[in-house]
Amino acid sequence: MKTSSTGRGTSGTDLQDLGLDLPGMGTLAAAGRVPPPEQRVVAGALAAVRAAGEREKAAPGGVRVRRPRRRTVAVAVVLAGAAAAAVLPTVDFGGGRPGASAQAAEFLTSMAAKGGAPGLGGAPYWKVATLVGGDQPPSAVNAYYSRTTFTLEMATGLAAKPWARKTAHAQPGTSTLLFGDATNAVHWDDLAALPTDPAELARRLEGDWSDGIGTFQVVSEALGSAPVSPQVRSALFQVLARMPGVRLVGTAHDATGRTGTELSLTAHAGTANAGTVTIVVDPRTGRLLQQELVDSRQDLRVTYLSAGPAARIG
Amino acid sequence: MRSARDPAAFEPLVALHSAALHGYLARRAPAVADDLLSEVWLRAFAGRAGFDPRRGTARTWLFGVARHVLAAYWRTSGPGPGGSLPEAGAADPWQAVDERLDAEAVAPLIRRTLQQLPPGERELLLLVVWEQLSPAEAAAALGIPAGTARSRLHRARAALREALTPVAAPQPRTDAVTATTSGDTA
Repeated sequence: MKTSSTGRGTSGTDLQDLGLDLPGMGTLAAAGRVPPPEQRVVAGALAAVRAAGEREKAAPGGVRVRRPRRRTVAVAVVLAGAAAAAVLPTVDFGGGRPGASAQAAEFLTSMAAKGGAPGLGGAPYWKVATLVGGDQPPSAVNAYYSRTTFTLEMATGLAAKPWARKTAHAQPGTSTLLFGDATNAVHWDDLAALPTDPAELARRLEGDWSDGIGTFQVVSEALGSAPVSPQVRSALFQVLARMPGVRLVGTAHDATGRTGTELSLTAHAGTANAGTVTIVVDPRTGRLLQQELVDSRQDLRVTYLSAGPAARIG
Repeated sequence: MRSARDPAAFEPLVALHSAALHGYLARRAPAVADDLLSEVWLRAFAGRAGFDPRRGTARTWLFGVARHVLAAYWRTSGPGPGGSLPEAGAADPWQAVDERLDAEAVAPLIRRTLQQLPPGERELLLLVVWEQLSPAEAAAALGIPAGTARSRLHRARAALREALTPVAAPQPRTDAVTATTSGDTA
């Protein structure tokens, strides 16, 4: 069975070659057919590229590659000392990447033994209280997860009242998204099946960002906000401990002044997804205090104030 | 790649690959595909110095850029902790994909089987079937090792085969398996 083209690639494969010539698969392939973009859309994209080229020519220094913005000063990073500051393995995407630094791996492995936050315990909601900042006005955000709903309470400006509240409902047949994105989404109903073996969990949460930042971010997001079991929590730390390029920065303070240990993973400028993700972990409890993503588009900092079961919203 | 240094040399890529990239976006975020296409090209242009032909073709690299743009759109299209949770379930393209499958009358058994696949396997499968990337190209676009892509595709294929292939039985049956094979017009 040959399948008609759904894209316009030059190296197209067909279902038969892939062993996918199964009953009904022809309709799946056909369902991917979409009309080509309107000419004005392509012309608009081309005009945008040309304008970017003109701006580039006008800028000093020739080719200008987007680079991560500097971190905001909201996070006061304090290096613990010369030893910590000296361990900064370079990540070279042109070749093999080093594993997590020995210090980072040792720290993260020790955090894996800290146990976990209290579970849902039969409560209908899981509440995560955060402060969101970076290059946007600081906001206080409370998120309430249930199996089928996701409710946000948000106040721009830390003293603003009343809170704006918005609830979204999971689509029929699905449950609420907890963390992750296209390739590694974890929904409420997935929690019980999350692997506790670090290698299996790493495969389950593998991000599609080529530099590992996607995985680093989703794992830390899970540590900060998801009602995972202590066993999964332990495995999450072990996943981080095995990730290439993760480095221990040293002692740092989060946006509220709490002291923790900072770790980071950086993708070089010049890659399509250049940027840095940093996390701050409380070394006494293993709690994730803060996560920050700085890339060419944004500086997004999330400070986790609390996460736990809740009987009601509000 | 000459276009890594020469802006003018980059422009032909826009004409060459826009249809494929727009198709990729339209299948997963139809309402914003036009806008995202420009974002893909701007991001690709800004990051063109990072393109390494040893790691794949310009086409697969561009699909990788498109994936990042799409992910960024989902992550920032609404408020939420980490900016990543605009709506319950909204960060997974499956809902948009499933709506497309529903509209195109794809057999419910195929939709259910796809839904039950891990997101990574599902996305790889759709890159192969819809975007016509080879498994190696899809691996490059996803930024995963080729072996991982082959394993994912193998698992996805096994799941589909198990669900869609009629099982030889001592006595003929006319149940759901038969019903789900009627939609194949290829």
